[in-house]
Amino acid sequence: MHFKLKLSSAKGFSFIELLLVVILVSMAFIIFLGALSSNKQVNARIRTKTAQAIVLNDLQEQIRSRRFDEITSGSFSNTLGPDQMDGSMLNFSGGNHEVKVTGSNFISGNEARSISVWADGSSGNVISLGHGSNNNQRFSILISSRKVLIIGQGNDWHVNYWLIENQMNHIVVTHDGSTVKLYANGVLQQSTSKSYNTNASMPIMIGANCDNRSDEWFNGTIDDVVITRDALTADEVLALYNQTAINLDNVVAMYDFNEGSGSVLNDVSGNGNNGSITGAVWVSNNSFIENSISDFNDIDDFNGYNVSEVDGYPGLSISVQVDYVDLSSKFRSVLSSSTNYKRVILQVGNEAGDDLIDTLIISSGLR
Amino acid sequence: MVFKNLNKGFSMIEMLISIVIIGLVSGLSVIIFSEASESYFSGTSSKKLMDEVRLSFWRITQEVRGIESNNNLLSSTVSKLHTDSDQNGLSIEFVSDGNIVFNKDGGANILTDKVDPSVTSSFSYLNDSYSSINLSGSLTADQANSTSLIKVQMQLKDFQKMMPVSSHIYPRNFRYGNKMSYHEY
Repeated sequence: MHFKLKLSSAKGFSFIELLLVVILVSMAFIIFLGALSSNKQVNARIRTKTAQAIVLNDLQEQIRSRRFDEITSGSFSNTLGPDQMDGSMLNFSGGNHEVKVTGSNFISGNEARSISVWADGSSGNVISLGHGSNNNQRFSILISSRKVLIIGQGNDWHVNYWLIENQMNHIVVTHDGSTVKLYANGVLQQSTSKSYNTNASMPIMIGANCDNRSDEWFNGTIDDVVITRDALTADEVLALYNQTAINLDNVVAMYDFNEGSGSVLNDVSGNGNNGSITGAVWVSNNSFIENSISDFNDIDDFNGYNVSEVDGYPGLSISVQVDYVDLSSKFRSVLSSSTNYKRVILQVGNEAGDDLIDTLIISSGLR
Repeated sequence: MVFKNLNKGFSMIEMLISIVIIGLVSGLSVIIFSEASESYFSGTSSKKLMDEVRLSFWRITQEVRGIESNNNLLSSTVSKLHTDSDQNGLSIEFVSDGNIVFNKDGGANILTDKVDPSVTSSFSYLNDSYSSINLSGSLTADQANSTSLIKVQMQLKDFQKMMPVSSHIYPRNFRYGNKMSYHEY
């Protein structure tokens, strides 16, 4: 009898079993890695959504803090987006280019006075009052290598302020009888003690020296001139700089330069001191006066506000659209003119995922 | 009868294969454990941080939105915002140890302790022209009255996770800004 004693029935895995185990373990590992990756994606998404919500909230709060419309009396503005400067201004190219305003009752002696003007140029007289040869009978804003000088003809003041290049600068000179001050772009730059004896019967000259002089022609652009027979306050200067509604007293002449063509510069103060244009040419002025979000004063200024990279939040962007809508269309129809409701669509973009979009309907409320 | 000697040891090949397999499995386990723990702690930390950010931001926003009057802001500083007409009433404060606390009637409650002290946290105040008000210590009465917007800036941190928070907040009871434009000129 031949016995084959089998002491153990245990045998090794077959190749198929081993392969199966390896495949199962690999699949489990892949699933595990997928779960980890998914978990990381979810966390990243939560983080991004939180950041988007913060940015959106920031924008919403800024919009809500603005007035419904920049016009508080009368019809609402029909212009969406940041405001631009007036449509035109005068460009002076030196020799014989001037605006002459004739009259005989302008600023006299040591009277209080103010001149407000927007200008950009490197040299020449922006505005001149009085007589250009007689001692102390002149009162001019002269630019010399962009530096601002207040000329009294023998009683001059060299101000340590230079016009900023490639932009319109708001310059205001005030004199209260004893102190002359220079404001630039809404800010007081310097002051000094002066007394003048300005000749009141000479023409007001814009872009040129006094009428009896044929020199120091202005080379540059001039816009929005206001001449008053008193010293403007700091608040009034700031209002003029911000192009804010303001009622000025004692106005001698006011020119908004909105004609855009022709040879007459109209005095919009109602005093009839129109100017005669020689040589200077009309140019359009499309520069923005609301250049940044801090300049925005009403809701529609945010229309077209786009930021490609939000500061502090990489990968996020902003875009805003403002439309006129009305109640009857349930705020769905966009209208071409102003209504009592503005629809603001805010979008916080995310370069790596979904955008966050929200819509505000803002009403005019009580005006 | 033939007896087969079945009581033999592993061969060298079997040993080597076993060691390699054990090594692979151990290595894989270490990787899996490491990844899993990192993912867990990272995820937990991130979720906790986001919760802290949302809660803190929401609480501050609610309080600032509800300020009744500009006068309440009197004596506010870059690190402490008074929201109550009573100076001993509610104020929100960034404390240098990384806490945001709500002070009221002499007591202090911690809103969060996750503020990153390495980054300056602050309140800033914007005037009617939406420009920052320069503080000389604290808001004067005039400065408080001219405040139109409040900006909060902070960064929260939990282990290696950070989240900056920067947002304006508009107190709903404040008047609308009175800045006008050239259209009214």
